[in-house]
Order: sequence, then structure tokens, then C-alpha cells
Amino acid sequence: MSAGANVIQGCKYREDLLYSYERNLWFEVRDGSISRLGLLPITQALFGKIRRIKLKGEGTVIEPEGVLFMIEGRKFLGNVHSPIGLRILRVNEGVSDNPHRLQIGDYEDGWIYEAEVLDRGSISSLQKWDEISDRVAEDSKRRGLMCFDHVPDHVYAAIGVDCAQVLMVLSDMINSIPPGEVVHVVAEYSPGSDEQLRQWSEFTGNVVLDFRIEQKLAHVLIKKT
Amino acid sequence: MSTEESPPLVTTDWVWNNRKADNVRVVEVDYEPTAAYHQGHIEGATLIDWKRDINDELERDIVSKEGFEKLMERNGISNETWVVLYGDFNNWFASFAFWVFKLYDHKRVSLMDGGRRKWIEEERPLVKDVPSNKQTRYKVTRVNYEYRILLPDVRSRLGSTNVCLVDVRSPDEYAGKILAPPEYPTEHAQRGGHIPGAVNVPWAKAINEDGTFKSVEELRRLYESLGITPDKEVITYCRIGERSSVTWFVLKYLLKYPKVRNYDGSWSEWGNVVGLPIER
Repeated sequence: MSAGANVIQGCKYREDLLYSYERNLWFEVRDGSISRLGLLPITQALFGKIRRIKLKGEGTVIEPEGVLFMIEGRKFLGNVHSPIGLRILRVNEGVSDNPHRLQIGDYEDGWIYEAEVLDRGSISSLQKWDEISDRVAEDSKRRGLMCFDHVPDHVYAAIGVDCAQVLMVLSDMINSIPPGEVVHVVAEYSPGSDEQLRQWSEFTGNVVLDFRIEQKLAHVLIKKT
Repeated sequence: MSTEESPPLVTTDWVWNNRKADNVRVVEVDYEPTAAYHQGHIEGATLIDWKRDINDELERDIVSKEGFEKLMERNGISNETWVVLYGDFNNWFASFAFWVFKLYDHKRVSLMDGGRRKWIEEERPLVKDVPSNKQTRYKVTRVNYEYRILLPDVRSRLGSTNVCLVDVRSPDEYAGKILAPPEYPTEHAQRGGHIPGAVNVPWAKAINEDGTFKSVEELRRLYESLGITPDKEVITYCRIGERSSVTWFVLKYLLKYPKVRNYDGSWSEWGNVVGLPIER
């Protein structure tokens, strides 16, 4: 991770970028103009894993408030609007095949468009990191928004469920999904449950990708093998 | 008073032009309103929340006649209003609502072809303001029980040659390989498979890539080639009765089959009842 990086509940932000936090967008500015833009990793939690993105073509002019692209996530289907006017210079074609790459905070390769701004003055309406960081932190905590390096395909909210039963339901879930898909389990943390999970993973062959405790809840990411 | 039946389908263009007409009420029907209606909806559209508004929250049943009347009055709908339904998940729950409107004999109700998705794909505007509804009076005077079928009647028709059961779930659900997707743990069944004799025609076969319905000619070819013909009594079912109301709509309102009934108990009932026959 480069210098000047910030991580809030697993979501990575960079200090040298500009943001439209309301629209979940980041902008990279070079020589006084926009060069690249992309989606914030917090969209993992807000939209769910993106299955499809419908992009505009190169050369398209997008007026302020115009549609930048359409996304179809597990939880949300809609258009993302641009806060400022832009002309699209280049489209990152690679992301259409693997749109969830856009949601892991990969600011190097996970951009969507290279663009130029129509009105340089409009750049000042975008937000600097230190202008939004407190709000992002407060929002993420309050709404329990988290990011992972692998965007989960399914969520199993097992709060209030006894540990043995969590593993039973999880086994059923894992059996019903295709290999490679990832389940995010949220459960109350009790000491020893990490060891039980490790044994379960060893026994079933499914991989634990992440194990985190946030606000007394255990968040586990499991990939079906 | 004009209570002529409305056309079953209207286009997004029609809704754009007529959304503010006095006798028209646009209604969004969602499974997940927080991710849909509350993020933005067609200007003037009111919300019907599938779980809260058209189901009985205590017993497993659709909203009662009295509950439906109150729901209509709350949403500014009178017996004469032309209601246009659209929603998330390819109109699944809007179709379920259409079925409930027809059960309670609402004459003028249409689906917006393509649903919420088509409206968004066409980059038409959405607003967040919730409209204020003027209080109306609504009275259900007739219930079309013949549009619905309950378990004992499905059971008594097993093996009958003039009855056709249509299972609209995915081939894997029909074959009993999956019970319910992991996201819907409350829709599980103890057993997988299908009702004996049912034909598998996934609901989406009736839908184009853009979410609109296929042409009447294409639809007729699809269903007739599988033996689902208008001379039979047709029963549609899925897991909880919402996808099957899409197929019910197609057969009853687009192909105009005379006898089509939605078995809304569907697999989450049949697959959980002790002693019912199952085929795999």
C-alpha cells in the first residue's frame, strides 16, 4: 500500500485523490484536470458484489448530473451520476469482465474511465480526503460498512445463532453454491470459535480468507473450494 | 364511471407520458425497498412493500380483503384508478401484486413492461420525494378465487389429464439439486424435487434480454410446444408464488388462457408437508 493510505473498516482510501462521497466515486487529478475515476470500495457493502457494469463509449460527453455508467450489484441496480461534466477519453475495458475488481480499492488497475473535465473550475466541488475522512469513519462505524480483499458473493448473518449451528447452516450454504464463491459470515464472537472454524475448514477443505473482529462481531470470509 | 379493463402491459414511454394523469397511479412494488424505491423511483410513484403490504404478517397468506381495501385507500387508489405496477427483480413482486389486484377484482391494472430495470437502462429520471396521497375510498365487491389454488385442490388434481402443472423454477430446483438459494434461508424446504407430472418452464423463458415480455407469437409457441394449452386447467408454482405469478400473468393476460391458477403455497409448502408425493 502506498504512503498516504487510510484504511477504515477494511476500506482503503488515498489521501492524494478527490472524492464525491455521496456518489461513491474517486477522482485522480493530474495537471489541474481529472485523469481517472473509479468506484469506492465501500460499494462492496452498499451495492453488494457487482455482477455487471454498462459503460459509456470513448468520446462520450457527460454533462454534470449525467449518467456515468449503470451498475448491477447483488443489492442494487442503478445509474451512477457524475457530479461534474466530463469527456471520456479511455474506457478500462478489462473491468467489464470482472466488475468486482472495481470494488476492492485497487486505485492502480481498478479505474473505470480516463477522462477530461469540461470545466476546470468544477473540480473544486469535489472533496479532499481530509474533508470527508471523519464522516466516512463515522458512517462506516454506524452502518457497519466493511470492505474485504475478496468481494463476498453471499452474506450469512448469524447473530444470535449458536456456534455449532452456524457451522451446520454454513455447510448447507456452501453445498448450494458453485466453487470459487465467497460467503461472508457475521456472528457473535466467542473465544474458541476461531479454533472451531479452523477445524471445520480443515475438515471440509473450504478456505478461510479473512477473520476479523469488529465491535464484538466476528466477520469471516470463506471461499468454497 | 369507467371501469373498462386496462391493457395488461404498458410501455415505459406510456408511463413517462401518463404518470401524472389524474386517473393513473404508478406504484412501485419491491422485495427490497431500501435498495430500490428509497434510492429513487418514478416521479409520483407510491410504494407497495411486498412483505409488509400484500402479505399477512402473522399467518402465511396474502393480505386480507379488508387489508387490501386499507392499502388501496392509503395509497390514493379508488376502484376506478388505473394502477400501473412496476418493480425490482424483473417485476417479480409487481407481478405478484398484479395477481393480488386481480384476485380482489381490480379492473384497471397494468404492468410496466421491463420494470424498474428498463426504466433505469433508459436513463429516465428517478426522484426520492415520496408523494402525498389523497385519502380515497375503496371497496372490494368480488374475489376471484379461481385465480388461486390451495394445496388440497392441487393434490386432488394429481394425475388428471386435463390439468397441467407448470413449475417455473430453475432446472436445478425442479430436479431437486438445490432447495433454495443461500440468500433465502426462510424459503427452504425439507425435500427437493417437483410436484408429480409438473412441466419445467423457467419463468425467464417468457422474458427478453431487456426485461420485457416476448411477443405473443413467441410465447404461444413456447408453452404450446410443451403441452401447456388453453384447453387445460393450468396451475403455476415456484418457491413462494412470486415467479409463478409472472407465468400466471403471461398465460392468463398475454395468451388469454381461460383457466390459469397460481399455487402460491408453491414448493416452500409442498416440499415441507409430510406425506406428499414428489418426483425428481
